[in-house]
Amino acid sequence: MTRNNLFIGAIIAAAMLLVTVSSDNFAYASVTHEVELSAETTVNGQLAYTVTGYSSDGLDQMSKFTAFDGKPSIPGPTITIDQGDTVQITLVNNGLPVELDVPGIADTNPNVDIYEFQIDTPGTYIYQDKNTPNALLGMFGIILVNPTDGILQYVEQNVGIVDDDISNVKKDFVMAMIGSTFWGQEIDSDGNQTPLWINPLLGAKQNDLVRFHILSIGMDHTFHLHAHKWVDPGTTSIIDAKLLQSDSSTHSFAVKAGESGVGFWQYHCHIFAHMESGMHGSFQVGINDVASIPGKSPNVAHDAFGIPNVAVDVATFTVSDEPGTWFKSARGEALAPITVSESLEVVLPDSDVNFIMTDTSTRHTITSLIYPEGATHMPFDQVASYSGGATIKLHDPGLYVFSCKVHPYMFGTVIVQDPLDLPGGENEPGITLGEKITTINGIAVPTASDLALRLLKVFFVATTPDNWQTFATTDTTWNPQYPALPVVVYTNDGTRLVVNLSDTMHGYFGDENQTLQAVSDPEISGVGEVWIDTQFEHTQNKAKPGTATAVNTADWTVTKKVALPEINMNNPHNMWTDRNQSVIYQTEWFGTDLTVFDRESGELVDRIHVGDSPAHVMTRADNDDIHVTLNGENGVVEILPGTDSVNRIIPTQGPDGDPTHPHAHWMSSDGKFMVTPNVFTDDSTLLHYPQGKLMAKINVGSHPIATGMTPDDSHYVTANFLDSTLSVISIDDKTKVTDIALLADYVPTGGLTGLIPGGDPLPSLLGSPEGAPIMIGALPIQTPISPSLDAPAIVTANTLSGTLTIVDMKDPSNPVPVKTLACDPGCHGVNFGAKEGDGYYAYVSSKFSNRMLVVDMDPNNDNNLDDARIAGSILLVDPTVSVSDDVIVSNPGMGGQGVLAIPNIYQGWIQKTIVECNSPDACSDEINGYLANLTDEQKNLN
Amino acid sequence: MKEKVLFLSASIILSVFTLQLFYTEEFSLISTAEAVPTTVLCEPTGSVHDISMQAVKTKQTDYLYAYQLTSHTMTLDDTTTDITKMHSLDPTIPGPTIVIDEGDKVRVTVSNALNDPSLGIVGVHVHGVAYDIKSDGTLEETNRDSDQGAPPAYTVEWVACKGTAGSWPYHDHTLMGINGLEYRGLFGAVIVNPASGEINAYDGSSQTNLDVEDIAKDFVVYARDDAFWIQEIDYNKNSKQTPLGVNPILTAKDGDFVRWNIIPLGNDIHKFYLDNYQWFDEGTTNLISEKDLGPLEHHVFTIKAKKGSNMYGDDAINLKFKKMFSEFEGTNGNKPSKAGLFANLKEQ
Repeated sequence: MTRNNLFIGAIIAAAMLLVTVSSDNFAYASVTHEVELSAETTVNGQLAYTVTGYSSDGLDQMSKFTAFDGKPSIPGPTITIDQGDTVQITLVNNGLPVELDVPGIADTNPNVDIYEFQIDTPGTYIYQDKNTPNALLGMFGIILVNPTDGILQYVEQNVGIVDDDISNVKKDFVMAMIGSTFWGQEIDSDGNQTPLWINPLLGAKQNDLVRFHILSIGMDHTFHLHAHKWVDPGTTSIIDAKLLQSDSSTHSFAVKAGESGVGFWQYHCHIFAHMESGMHGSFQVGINDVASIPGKSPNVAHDAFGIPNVAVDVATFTVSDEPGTWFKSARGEALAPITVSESLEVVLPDSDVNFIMTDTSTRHTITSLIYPEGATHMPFDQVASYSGGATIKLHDPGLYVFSCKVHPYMFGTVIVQDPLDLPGGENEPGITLGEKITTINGIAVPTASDLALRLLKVFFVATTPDNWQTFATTDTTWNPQYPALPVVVYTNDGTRLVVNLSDTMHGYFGDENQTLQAVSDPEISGVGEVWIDTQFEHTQNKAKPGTATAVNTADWTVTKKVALPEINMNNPHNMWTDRNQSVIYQTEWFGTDLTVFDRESGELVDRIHVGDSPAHVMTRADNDDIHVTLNGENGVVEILPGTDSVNRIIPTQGPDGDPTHPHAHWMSSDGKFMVTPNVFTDDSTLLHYPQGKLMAKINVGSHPIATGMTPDDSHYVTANFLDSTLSVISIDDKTKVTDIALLADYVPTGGLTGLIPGGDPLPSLLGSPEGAPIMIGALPIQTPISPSLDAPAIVTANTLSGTLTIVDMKDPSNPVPVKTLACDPGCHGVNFGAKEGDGYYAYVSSKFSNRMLVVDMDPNNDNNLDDARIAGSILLVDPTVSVSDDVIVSNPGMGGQGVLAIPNIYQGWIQKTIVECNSPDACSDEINGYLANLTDEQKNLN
Repeated sequence: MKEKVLFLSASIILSVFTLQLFYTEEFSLISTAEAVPTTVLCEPTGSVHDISMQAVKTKQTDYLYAYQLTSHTMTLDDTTTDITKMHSLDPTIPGPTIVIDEGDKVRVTVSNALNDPSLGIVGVHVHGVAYDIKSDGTLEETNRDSDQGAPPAYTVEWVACKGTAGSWPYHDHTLMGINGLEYRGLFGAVIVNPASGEINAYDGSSQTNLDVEDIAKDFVVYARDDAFWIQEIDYNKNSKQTPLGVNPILTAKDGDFVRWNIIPLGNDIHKFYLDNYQWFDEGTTNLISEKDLGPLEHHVFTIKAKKGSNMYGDDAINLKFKKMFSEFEGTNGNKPSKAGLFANLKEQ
């Protein structure tokens, strides 16, 4: 035995000597690696690279990718080279608009589709598509550059930092942090690569040397692994958590697996919202080698109901600021002929659902709004909004609807198909909607019920712009589309039904070719103008949506449309004005800025960075300070008038309390108090300005989203969006006085049995003129109180039911609902303006229609609100508009949200405006003209 | 050329190696023995710390919970010393700082005094020091071993093996599910002093080698999403730990060396700065005056306090407006640090 070994050893030694002596540049020949990548769309709609060719120094290496099976992989193939080598990538684009980039390394090949990189410094480098949304969808991989000296460092238990050789590495794990998802890949010691997909179980044998190559794209992450430590490259610092910051970032390290023992060791991002949204998996170390277990593959799909590839193993949604498709299936366009909505996916149980914020400009949450009653791991939610994504494994069959708590009309739906409901089984087949669904605030209903159908209707209308209502000066027809698919639903008594969804929806709501009546102007004019944020209008010269539309209330014509393409103004949501009504303060709700533009010319005055998701803006009546709620954070910013930056943030909770995410605040007429509805914490903050103190934090209802205040500053109201209640709070006592149940007369199951006979009861209920109002107001949003001192009224827009609730507030401790009126789908914003002659109008906006409603709370002016009615409706579309800075190209007149009347006639503000405008040249002629039209009562200078 | 030499050397070594074989009777170039797992944790060579703490709700806030130390003893050879009094005996945020040396062993027993079964079990998960799977401080869903929290009281064991010198976070990882409620105030630090006793510091003009004993104060600085939560350890006062609450004014005697231990926790990325000071970026010879940090990274540096007041704070864009800053003052005498909000917490 030993003689043989001696012989072998001697031969080797001789050979080495021979080779060393005979070659000139022996050990250092820069190698070229030629890689061919094909840019492809995976069956679930993601984008990825397929490796179609790979050779190093002329030698074919494609055998290393056998496990890729010729299919796209996320991450793409790892290109392993030595420092100084050259990588040449040929990209076959297959007609996709792709372009490759290695951030930080120059492409030295002039050819458009061939990229060449020479990398002299060891490390890991991301190759990716230049367009970040494409990269986030899966077009990325790494180039792993090993040092020539072949040395790596790891931390040996009870020793410290130790050198070792890369050739001793048993496994390399490539882990990409994308959104809130890990995409993994394993490379064995022979260089064979295996895709591990989403949040895989990584396996290793104790004491084996393994390397981790972490990469992140587009967002910040911190990578942490339990029970292991490693060297921070380039330092002598030993760490167990590492920041990967923005754009494209990498971090590689080596460990001895199980340095302090075998077990399942969690790896995860340590940003708390990412932990909550699913960004974790296991590193299992065993006494013997452990095989890694991949997650689900984006390349797998299943046929069902005669539809090829209808159900995928990985359903991926992109998140963006685009009206309708805020949550969009990556293959939404391909699915839409069947699903109508591009925000609907179908999967089998235990598939992965993956969200990624590919094109967002502020923070969001990914929260389950609706899910099957009792479903495991539900509800899915986060304490704070964030930038990232989500990874969820849905186990139980049924209907899941996801939303964002900050922008609660962003919807994405996943149907988990019960295999028992598939064709070929015992039961009549259909797409599983399940037995019972529950909302996140605990309302459980059978799927064949009024509430379930109404929620489905809202989903299909909100996410499909073609389903929005287009009014005109003549009658028009509305024909919303629903999927013509068999669905399985259950009634109140447990009967299983299979119905055609489209037929059922049309039959129940009577909305097949439904007539939309022509708009008509109110008989009595308003005073001044009214602005509506037509937030979903798209214009020619900017990518983001939204314009502010002005209507002259003297003749009810649209006079201005402000898009501000020069700043790509993003989803303008709510407005206020300064004391002399010269500028409009405009929040950009899907961004981070408050924009200011000239009221008369529409020209940009300023854009002020305020923070995440600025929702509402108001001024302080006494000193004109500007306040903006940070709906993506936990406070209200204050900007001093005439300045262009934030003065301070006023917190709405104690230090490091759960962030409240306030939406629509209000201020008292004397500038002393501010109240905020705290969407995420189900309470309301009362702040005392002059003292700079948080006076109280009062529990209200679920998802309080808007507020209003009585003109005498004694009480305020919160609209509790998910509970469908209004809470009335006494400011003096700092306690809740009462709740108003907006749905007091609503039976969510509709008392239904069988196949929902009779249809939607709502229209006939709204028609009843006499007696107490029928209380059906679901999902209330804006809820201001009219400035009338004699007959203050709450007017609440209820977006799900399409109704307005009017509540008499003469005695705030005893609010009396007096009327329910119909409004349009998605009705949202309410604000008051002066009516000519006396009194006030309530102007109402709707997200999914192109018109504004004008409500007269008291037509006969007797301070009795029982004659409240819709006085007229105004189209927010007018091609002859006189002031306009861009051309409307789609969604004309749509997306109505913020409303602001000029002059601003609220108590506290109007008096200051009148005094201000008394000085010559302090206010424009136009404003002085409007003010001259106000009655003494409307001016209320007493 | 260098490569040729390398190869030549390698071939010589190989030759020598094979010659050695000649003299060895039983040898095989390929080992066929099964890999033997290493002993789970290294043998502790120093003191054994026994620490008991409980998780409580606090009177002062209805949204924050805290760890409260109940006892801390230290055993070396056969002598046990009770060092409970070193800590604050109130609930504190950050929780009690566990200061140990490389080679020490720690047993932490956590009890649940939250009085709220709806929250589930509370535990302690640590970074950096060595622990085995039964001391992961997580739920069975994560560790596939057991639910590792209280009630009933749960004990985790850590060993500060060589190579664990540094400052590491500990935090809850079990309340209300697998992520725990770390953001509710249940976090603290373990400071592991190196066995060598050597600390790298910058005295304002040059690098200086200190001994651990030269450190006058440790600041445990948790950078949360709204504010800094700080605890001070004063080595001139028998290692007394004092909670300083939110954005306190920190003081140190002019000329004293103070060690800053910064740990972010939550959702935000921070940019920590300390005006008019420079320090060594950990594990390098680079002098810096600000540092980007993400949740549960750690950043430790030692500087010499100089006379006058300077700002420490967070310059990350969204945190600037929140006024996430305060002062660090080098003083003549022994002016104490000035605590901020929530420095004095009591059990509810």
